[in-house]
Amino acid sequence: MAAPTQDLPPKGGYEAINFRRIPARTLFSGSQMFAGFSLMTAVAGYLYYRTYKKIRIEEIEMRSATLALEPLLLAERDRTFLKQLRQNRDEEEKLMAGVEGWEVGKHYGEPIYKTVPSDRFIDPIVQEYYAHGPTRSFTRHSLFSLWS
Amino acid sequence: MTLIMVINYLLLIICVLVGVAFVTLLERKILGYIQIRKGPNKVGFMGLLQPFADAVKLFTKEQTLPVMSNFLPYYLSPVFSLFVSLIVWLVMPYELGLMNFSMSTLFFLCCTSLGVYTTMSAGWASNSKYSLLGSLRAVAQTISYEVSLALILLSFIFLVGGFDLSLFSLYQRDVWLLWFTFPLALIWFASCLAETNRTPFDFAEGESELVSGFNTEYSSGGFALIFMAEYASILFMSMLFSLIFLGGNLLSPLYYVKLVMVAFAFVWVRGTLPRFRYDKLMYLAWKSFLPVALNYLIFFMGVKSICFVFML
Repeated sequence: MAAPTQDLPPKGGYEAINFRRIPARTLFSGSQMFAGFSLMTAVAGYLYYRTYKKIRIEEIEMRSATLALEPLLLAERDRTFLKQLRQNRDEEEKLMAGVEGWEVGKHYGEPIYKTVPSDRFIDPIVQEYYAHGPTRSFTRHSLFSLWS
Repeated sequence: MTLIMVINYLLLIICVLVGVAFVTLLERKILGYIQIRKGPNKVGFMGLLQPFADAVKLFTKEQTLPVMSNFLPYYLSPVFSLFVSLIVWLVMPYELGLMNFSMSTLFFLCCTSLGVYTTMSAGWASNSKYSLLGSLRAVAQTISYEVSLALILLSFIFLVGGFDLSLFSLYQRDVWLLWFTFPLALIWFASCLAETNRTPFDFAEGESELVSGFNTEYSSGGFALIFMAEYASILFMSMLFSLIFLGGNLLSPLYYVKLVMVAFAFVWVRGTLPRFRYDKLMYLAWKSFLPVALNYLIFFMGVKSICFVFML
């Protein structure tokens, strides 16, 4: 029978256990990080400021162009309106040629507006403006006007 | 014109839903590799058909219904949650045909606020203690982080001069807003994590704490919809982060690469960080993020006034 052996610690004892914290390696100190952040913000802020100036100039140019175009567009609209009125008048003349007592621009001989002097022109109502055309134009106009 | 917009939006939604399906696979693969194992790789080549297998499983399993639950909110909460998560994609400022939405930021804030209701009603309608607790904790967390989200967004509204999200693309021509507002970007990212109930803020799911949080009583269909809503929100928050901070040029393919990188960061955070203790989460929202967001707001008000003064 072999002599019983005991499970003893090694000669000289175990080495000491390191229970202390091992702190993480710091690449930058706090003030270095803050300085870097300030620099990054300052540079980016300057670049943002430059972009802001450019965009503002572009917006002003766009607005100026829109303002300059407005009289032209209004004039075009007025011309189209008056052309359509003329077409309406011609159409009404053709349609009501056989009716007795019908004067173009009046309603069975009576003026449309009683108290207004006869040489004053008042815009026709929407239904009259679109009377001789397809229904879809009138529908489009109504939808635009009612929904905006 | 409207028809083109509608079709564009529907195409966007289809792409988002396909993206959602593959983000589930992305998440599982990334979590696997973080945990020194492989994610799903058996179903198709490298697991590419896994989302379809999951979808088939979920939609062919039995849809349970707790007898004592309140049926209408129980059934409709996941539906409404997915609806809100998809409708918020309307604000994506894709100038070649999506809506010309001049109040995008406000709409986004409205939609995130609506998402809170769905969580709350899902938890309450399940008529189960675990669901109710999970949903109430999630609701408290979400509304706390919504405040800092809204204030950060307000700072950016100052910088960008309007509520339109397409202005962000305009203003990031020379420099990303990330460099200018770096701490805000970090806080925004953390608030997005909290909004979408992701780790380290995932009290809604509360796995291993509360059985399964507010979706304890949801089986196949409802569960699928809730999680599709969550992943759609994740993709949307990634899109918003790339838009606001990483140069929002939607016409370059690099933008979409950045979007996926941010989504990867969402999953990376999930695999790395443990869950916050609830009181520390609330402390972070109200006593860390909120003061920083407010101070940055005042700082940007000052910056904008200086810009204005020097321009004139």
